[in-house]
Amino acid sequence: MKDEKLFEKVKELLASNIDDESLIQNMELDSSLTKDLDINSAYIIDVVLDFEEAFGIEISDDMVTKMETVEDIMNILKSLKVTV
Amino acid sequence: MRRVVITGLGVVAPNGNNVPTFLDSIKKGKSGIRFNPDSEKHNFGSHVAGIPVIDETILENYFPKSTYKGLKGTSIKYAALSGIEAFLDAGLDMERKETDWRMGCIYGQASSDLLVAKDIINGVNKLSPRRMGSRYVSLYMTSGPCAFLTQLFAFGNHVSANSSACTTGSDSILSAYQLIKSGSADRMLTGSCEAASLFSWAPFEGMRITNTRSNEHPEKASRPMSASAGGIVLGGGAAAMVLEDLETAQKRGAKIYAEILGGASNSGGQRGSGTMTFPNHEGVQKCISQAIHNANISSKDVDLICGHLTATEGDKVEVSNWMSALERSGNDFPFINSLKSMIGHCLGAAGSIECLAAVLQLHHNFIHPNINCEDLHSEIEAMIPRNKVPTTKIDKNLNVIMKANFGFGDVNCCLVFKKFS
Repeated sequence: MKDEKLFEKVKELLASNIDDESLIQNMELDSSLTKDLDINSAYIIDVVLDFEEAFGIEISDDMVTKMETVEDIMNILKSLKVTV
Repeated sequence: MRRVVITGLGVVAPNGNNVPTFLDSIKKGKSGIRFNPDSEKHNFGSHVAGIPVIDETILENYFPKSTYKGLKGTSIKYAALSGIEAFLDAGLDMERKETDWRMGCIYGQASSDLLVAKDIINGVNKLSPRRMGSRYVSLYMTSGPCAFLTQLFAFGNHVSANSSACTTGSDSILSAYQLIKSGSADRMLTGSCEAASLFSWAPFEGMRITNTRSNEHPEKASRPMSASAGGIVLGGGAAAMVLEDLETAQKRGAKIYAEILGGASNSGGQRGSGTMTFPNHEGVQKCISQAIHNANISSKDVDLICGHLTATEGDKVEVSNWMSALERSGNDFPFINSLKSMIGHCLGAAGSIECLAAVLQLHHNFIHPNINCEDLHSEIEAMIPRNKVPTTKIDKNLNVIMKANFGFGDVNCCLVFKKFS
């Protein structure tokens, strides 16, 4: 089941990295960060930094390599016991 | 033979952050030099500088959100603003979905943005380079301005950055001209930028060649060719031009500001009178003569010299070099002026901003005043009549302007602009 509160927070944090407003509105759990949300793959690390700063966490390089979809981000945040 | 014309202009200068404001300023002799509290705070001898005031909303409007979010420093912002204005002024389509294989970009800077470098150095010093994010490579690389301009305008032809100290801006225009002239490209965006930052200026403080005598009167500080010249006043900014093959420009009915007839660049080799910091006279004169030859004009055709003229001891040597190279003296000497009297020395951006001022004077038929030169240096007055160094605007129909810049490393560049007919 989708954690709506966490999903909305992830969506909010991803938004500053997505140029096309319609892609933000249509974001789903299985949206690919690069293919569907059109985030430059080189800028994924900036997304990571945004999440680390927002939640005071550290996302390991291993986790970053597995971060392909919105759901992957949510799973990483849950594994790090992030609450919103 | 192909002819190369200028069809778009854009500028970010200390006395005007767009072409109409800049044009108004140089007509009125309005200085862009102001008191800079940061310089005083950091123990600079000179507390004055030429720092452009920019409108960030233009960048927000034209760059994708994710790109704008990552912009830092000032040089790329200046470059982008100059490029956007030049592109719009040229009447080119800003919605560029496809790569334009016939348009390229040569856009230089004397040094990469040290405001950006500061962040990188801090990242290393704080032992956290892996937390710097993804943007610093594109921001700090010398070709950063070209890369961001390409993101905006989809250049598909030659794209590169050039760097040759104070000749950077004029050199970039010369190289872009040559690419169009040779048929390699039909259209080029060209120019140069320099961040306005204490870090760029501090090395000149170290050399003690900045003016420390005019801190109370910023607008009086930059005094090229005057007896009371006290050294250079530093600044930053950018300028861009759209250059175009004449046929291509005419086919789309483009407005034409001026034609570039030719130019030359060389080095004095740091031999003879040339050193790391001072030009070899022979090299300067050869550069001017070669530019005249390449432009297929006579030195008698030159109406106005827009000099390099930095408000140092080098000014009288420069005037002497112009006299020798043009073989003109006394009343026969052309008018001469220095934009640095109003905006200071914008380093890597100096050449392009000064070329743009030359084009505006040609297009609008005026010679801008040399402000702060009421007391012409006696050694210059011994070479050329006082009236050839105007201190007030002269309205005059101009046909040919020569513009030169000379830079550290003993490099020279000279361009010949002609009214289009």
